[in-house]
Amino acid sequence: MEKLLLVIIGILLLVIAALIIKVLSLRRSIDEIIKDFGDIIEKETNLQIRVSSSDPHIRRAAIRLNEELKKLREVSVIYSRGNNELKTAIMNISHDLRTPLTAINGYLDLLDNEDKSEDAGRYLSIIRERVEALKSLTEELFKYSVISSTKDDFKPEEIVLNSELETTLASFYGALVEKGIEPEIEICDSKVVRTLDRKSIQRIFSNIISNAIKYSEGDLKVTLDEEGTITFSNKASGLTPTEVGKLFNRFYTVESAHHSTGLGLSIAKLLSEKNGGIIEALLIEGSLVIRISFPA
Amino acid sequence: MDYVIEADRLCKNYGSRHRVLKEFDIHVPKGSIYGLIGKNGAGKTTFMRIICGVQPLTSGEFSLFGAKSSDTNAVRKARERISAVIESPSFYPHMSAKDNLIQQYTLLGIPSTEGIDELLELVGLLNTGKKKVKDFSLGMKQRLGIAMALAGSPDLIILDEPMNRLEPEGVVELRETILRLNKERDITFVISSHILNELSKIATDYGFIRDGKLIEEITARDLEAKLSSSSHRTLEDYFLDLMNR
Amino acid sequence: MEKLLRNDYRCILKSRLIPGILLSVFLFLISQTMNQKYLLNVYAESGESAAFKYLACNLIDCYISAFFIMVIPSFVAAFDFEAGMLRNKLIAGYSRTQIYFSNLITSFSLCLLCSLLIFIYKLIVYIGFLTPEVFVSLIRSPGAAEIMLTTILFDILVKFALCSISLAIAMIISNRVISIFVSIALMVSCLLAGISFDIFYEPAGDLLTTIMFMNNIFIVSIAQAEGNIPIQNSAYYVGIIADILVFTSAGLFVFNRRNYK
Repeated sequence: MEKLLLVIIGILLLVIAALIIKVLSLRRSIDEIIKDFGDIIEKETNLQIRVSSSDPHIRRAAIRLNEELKKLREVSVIYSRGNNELKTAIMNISHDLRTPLTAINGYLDLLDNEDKSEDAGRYLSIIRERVEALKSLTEELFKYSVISSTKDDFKPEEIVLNSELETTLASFYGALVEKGIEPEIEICDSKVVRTLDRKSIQRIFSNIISNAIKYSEGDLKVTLDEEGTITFSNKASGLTPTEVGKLFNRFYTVESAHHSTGLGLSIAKLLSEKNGGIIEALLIEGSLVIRISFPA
Repeated sequence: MDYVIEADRLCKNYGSRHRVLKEFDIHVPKGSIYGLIGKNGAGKTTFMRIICGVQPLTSGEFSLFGAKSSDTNAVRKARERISAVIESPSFYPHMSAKDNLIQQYTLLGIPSTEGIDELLELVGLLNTGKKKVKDFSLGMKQRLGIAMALAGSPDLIILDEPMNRLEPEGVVELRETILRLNKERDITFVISSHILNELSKIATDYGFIRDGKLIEEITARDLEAKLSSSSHRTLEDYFLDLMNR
Repeated sequence: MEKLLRNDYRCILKSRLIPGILLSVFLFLISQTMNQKYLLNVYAESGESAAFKYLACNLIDCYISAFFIMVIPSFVAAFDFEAGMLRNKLIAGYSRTQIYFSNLITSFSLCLLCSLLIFIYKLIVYIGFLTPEVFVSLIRSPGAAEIMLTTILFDILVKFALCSISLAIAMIISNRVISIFVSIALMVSCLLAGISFDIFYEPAGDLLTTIMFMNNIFIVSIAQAEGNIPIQNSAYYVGIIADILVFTSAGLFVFNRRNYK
């Protein structure tokens, strides 16, 4: 009798051991799947979830997830290929547009030297103006497509934001004086050093400053603090919050400006993000504040 | 530029005398079809073996999908995304083509055997039924090798002279398959080949290797520009000139 | 690792290895049948407890299975070395150590299968040749269950040692034919060494020769087959485990270092 009891207890212990092993193995499989899933979603990869267990439920879960991942991947590939093709097309077109425009300018010059009536002269200068506008639009378009499609010429180095900001402001001295703007500049004393691409930073600053000059009502405030946050503010009484929200959209221009393309700020946004920074536009008490921060 | 493989002064010696790779540098861009061109024994196969982990490197380092070779765990994880057919294709000779693929799926831990028929059809081995792989022709074996390489949904496929043993139709089919996979699934290919003609039809980038060193790396577009503006007419001329300089 | 094991098992199942083992074991055993009958008569006449000891040992019979055990790992390892499957596994991301142990586990399972066949066959033969009453009285003899259990456990240990030796040889020499040859040569030379030790030396003398003698796994297996179960002598255990560790680490070391297999 005792022997039988012992045997039964022995069998039960074995069963319990087997169940514990099964539970642990299922747990491990689930962890595996979660880990794989997380990895796959993060990267652009064709990989699918793989399982070590032969349990049919685990397999079915993995299969189902893989189906969805596959669809996601297909869409992603189509999108990025399409996007790239589009960018290349824009780059090529905007490049090709320069040639005829240069030719037009050339003939306009020739026309200038001819005898003409007053009206003709007037028409000529309007045409010239329009061609200039077209030329700068094409330039901006070309630069935009180049920036967003390649990573060449991107050389992060240690730069001092203080000096970069000062240099850029100095280069706009002439334009500021012309518009009668006396900028208020508050740059902190301590050097703010970040590892960024110098050309991008110069571009970002100049785009924002020239934008501010274009729309300014007479003031401009530039600050740089120790944490690496730069702000450009100017009064913008006609600006609504919605318009501020759209400022970084490509080709969005606020009505009241002429000589502008909408790309300056978009380029600034692209470049800021490329360098790991955050840029935002806010409307604070009737002033437009563009704030960029580059974390350490 | 996103590089799938980058090597920096990679060296591989077999014993102290035989130096196969010397200060080898390479940059394989993502989504490219990279043609590795060089004479026999120049080090192409050794380089592939090192990337795949079949052999250890002697000195220098490489990075695979951003994982540095010094970080063994990261590299092992990165290798999940690659497959290769190096030298001759590997398979179990006593099993059929389908069984071999099932075997590969088991080895990798892929949960469902559903995609297998599709793969077989892709390489044209769907009708082999129970025929054992040891009875396959060389071309069929090569095609099976490629099917096995595709089994794990890789992001990078390394092929060592894949056109070598194929019949002409096979070469055309392989070419089409590579182009299609590259376009539809964004798979990067590294292909070493002697048959420069075939390679020039599909490669987007080239790496010329001589005596264990990569002497030139150039994109297909730049090469085309060079060829049209110089005395070389074909890729072969260019290659021969490079080798003999 | 489970995936690797599953892959290796499936490969073996799909091959003709298992039927081959079954067939050769069967043929071998049939040829041994007359010998068994003679041995059985000897046991039947040697008194109860001793008889059971002999019976237990002979049922397990390391002697015959040793031959198969030395050969099986070479076949298993050959699957990796032929047609470049080893390269495939490496590219798939498995380490050489994992591949080695996977081969060890699969070879050992096949060796156990072998032993099981021999065991069942002999059980049938013994029940056939001995009259049922004699057989039952043998089983009921005092300490029979204990002897059986300890013999089986000891035997599994010895078989594992033989298997790991043979696998180490197979993984170092990556050629199936040559490694079979070397394994069998090793076995035969150790047998001969063992026999000559038996004849020419008193093992209890010189310490070094005693250790060498006791460490010789083949000598142990012979002793077991002849019914001198060395289970009581712990030096044998040490020797066997030392054999396992030494050969496995040597095999692993060489396998890991070998440039391109």
